[in-house]
Amino acid sequence: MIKLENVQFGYNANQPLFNGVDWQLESGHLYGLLGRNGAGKTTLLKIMTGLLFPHAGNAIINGQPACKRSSQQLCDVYFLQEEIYVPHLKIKQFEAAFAPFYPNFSHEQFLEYLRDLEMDNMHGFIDKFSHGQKKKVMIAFALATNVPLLIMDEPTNGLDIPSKSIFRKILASYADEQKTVIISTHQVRDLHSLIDAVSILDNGRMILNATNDVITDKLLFDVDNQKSQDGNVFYTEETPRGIYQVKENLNHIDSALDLELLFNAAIQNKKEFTELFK
Amino acid sequence: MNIKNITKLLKAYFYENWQNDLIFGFVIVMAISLFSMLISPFDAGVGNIAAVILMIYYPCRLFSKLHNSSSRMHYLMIPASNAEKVVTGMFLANIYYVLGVMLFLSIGILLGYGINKIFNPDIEATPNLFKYVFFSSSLSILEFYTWIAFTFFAAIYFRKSPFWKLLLTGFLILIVFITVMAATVWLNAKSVLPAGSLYRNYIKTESYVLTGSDWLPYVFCCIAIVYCYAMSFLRMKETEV
Repeated sequence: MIKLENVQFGYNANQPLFNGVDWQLESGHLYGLLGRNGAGKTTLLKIMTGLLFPHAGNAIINGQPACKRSSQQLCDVYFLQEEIYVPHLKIKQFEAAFAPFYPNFSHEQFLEYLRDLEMDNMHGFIDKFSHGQKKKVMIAFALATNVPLLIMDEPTNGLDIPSKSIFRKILASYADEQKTVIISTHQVRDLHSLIDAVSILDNGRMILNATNDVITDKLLFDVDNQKSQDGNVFYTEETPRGIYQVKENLNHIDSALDLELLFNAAIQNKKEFTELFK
Repeated sequence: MNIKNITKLLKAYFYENWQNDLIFGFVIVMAISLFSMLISPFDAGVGNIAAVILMIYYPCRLFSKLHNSSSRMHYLMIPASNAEKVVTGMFLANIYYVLGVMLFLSIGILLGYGINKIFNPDIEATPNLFKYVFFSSSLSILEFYTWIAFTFFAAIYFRKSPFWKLLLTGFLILIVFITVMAATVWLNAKSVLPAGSLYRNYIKTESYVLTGSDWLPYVFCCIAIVYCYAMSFLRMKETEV
C-alpha cells in the first residue's frame, strides 16, 4: 500500500538527510516510527504524504506517487502534525467544514472520541483552546475520518497523563485489517503496549522495519544478574534492577519486546540488524 | 477536476471566513456611506477604492494559509487536487469578492444617500448605482481582471511578506505595462498617420479603425491572465512545506 523506494532527500545540497530510504508498510498494522532527534522522522512522513518531494527515488501511496497529491489520494490519508494548525472555528463548525472531504467520516465516532477525551462540552473556538485541548480535538477528528492511512507525528506531546492512557485505549480499538497507522514519537513508553510493528530510522537509512512478532522471534529481551558472555549480545544496560540485555534469539524463546532496549540495540548495531532483519 | 470537491472547498471557505467577510463588508458600507454623505460617490473615487480592495486585499488574503508552515500543511492536506484549489480561489477572487464588494458598495452609497436626504431634502435624485459602482473606476474590466490574476499569482508565489513583494513586483509590471502601452501608441501612430504628422488618427472616434497594434493591450491582458493562472496552478502543484 505504501512504499518508499530509494528515497533521497536533504534540506542542504551538501548535507543529505536520506541516502536511499526503503520502507514498505502493510495494511492492518500500527507502526511505531522511532529515531533520534533530527533523524528525519517528520521529514520522512512529509515525503510520504506528498508535502515534500524526494530529490531521488519514489514515495508511492496506492500505486501513485505521493507528490501528485490527488484528491483521491488525500481522501485516504490523514496527517496529524505535531505543530497543529486549527482554523478559527468551533468544534461543530470544524466538523461541518472538513468532515465532508472524508467519505468514511463518522459523526458518532467523533462525538464518542470527544467524550472520551473530555472535550464534548467545549463550546469556544478551537484556536483559543490550550495546546493539549487542540490536540485532543484534532486526534478525535483524525480518528473519526476512518482513513486507510493515519499518520500521527508525536501525538501524545502536550497531552496530560490521563489523556495519554485514553488515547492509547481509543487507538487500540481503532486499528483493523484495512487501516494502517504510523506513529512517530520519541516517547516510546507511550506506545509500548500499542504498536505491533517497529521502524527505526537512523543516519538516513531505515535500519529496522519489522513486526513485533518477527522482532521477538529474532531477538531475546532478557534481564539477568550478570552480563552474558555470549557473542550474540547486541546491547546491555545495567540498572539497579538487574542487567537488561538484547541478544540474538537463537533458541526462539518468547520474551517481551522492550522498545527502548530495541532502539538502543539497533542504533549501536546497524549492520547486524540490517542483516538480521533482511 | 471534481465539482463536488470545489463545492466542499467553498463550503469550508465560507465556514472559516463568513464572519470576516461580513465585518469587512460592514466597514465598506460605513466608509462609503460616510464618503457619500460628504462628497458624491463618483468624486470619492468609489470605483477605485473597490478596485484596490478587489485587486490587492482579497487575493492576498485568499492564500494566507500558504504563508505559514503549519497552516500550509493543513491546506495542502485537504482532500482536493491542486487544480481544484486554484479554481476555487479563482471563483472567489473573480466572482464572489467582486459581487460581494459591489453589493456592499451599493448599500453604502444608498445608505449615505438616504442619510443625506434626511438632512438635505434638496439633493439630487437617487444616485445611479450602476454608474458609480461599475463604471467609476479608471480601469477597464479587462485590466481589472488582469490585476486580480496577477495578485492571485503573487499571493500563491510569495511566502514571506507577500503584500510588499506584491507591491514591488506590481510596480515593475506596471512599468512593463506602461512600456507596452506606450509602444502600442507609438506603433499605432506610425502605422496610421502620414509621416511627420502630429495629429493622431485614433483620437478621432468617427474615423477610428482598429489596427493590429490596437489589439496589443487586450492581447497582452488576455495572455497575462492565462499566464498568471497557469503559473498559479504550477506553483500550487510544486508547493512543499
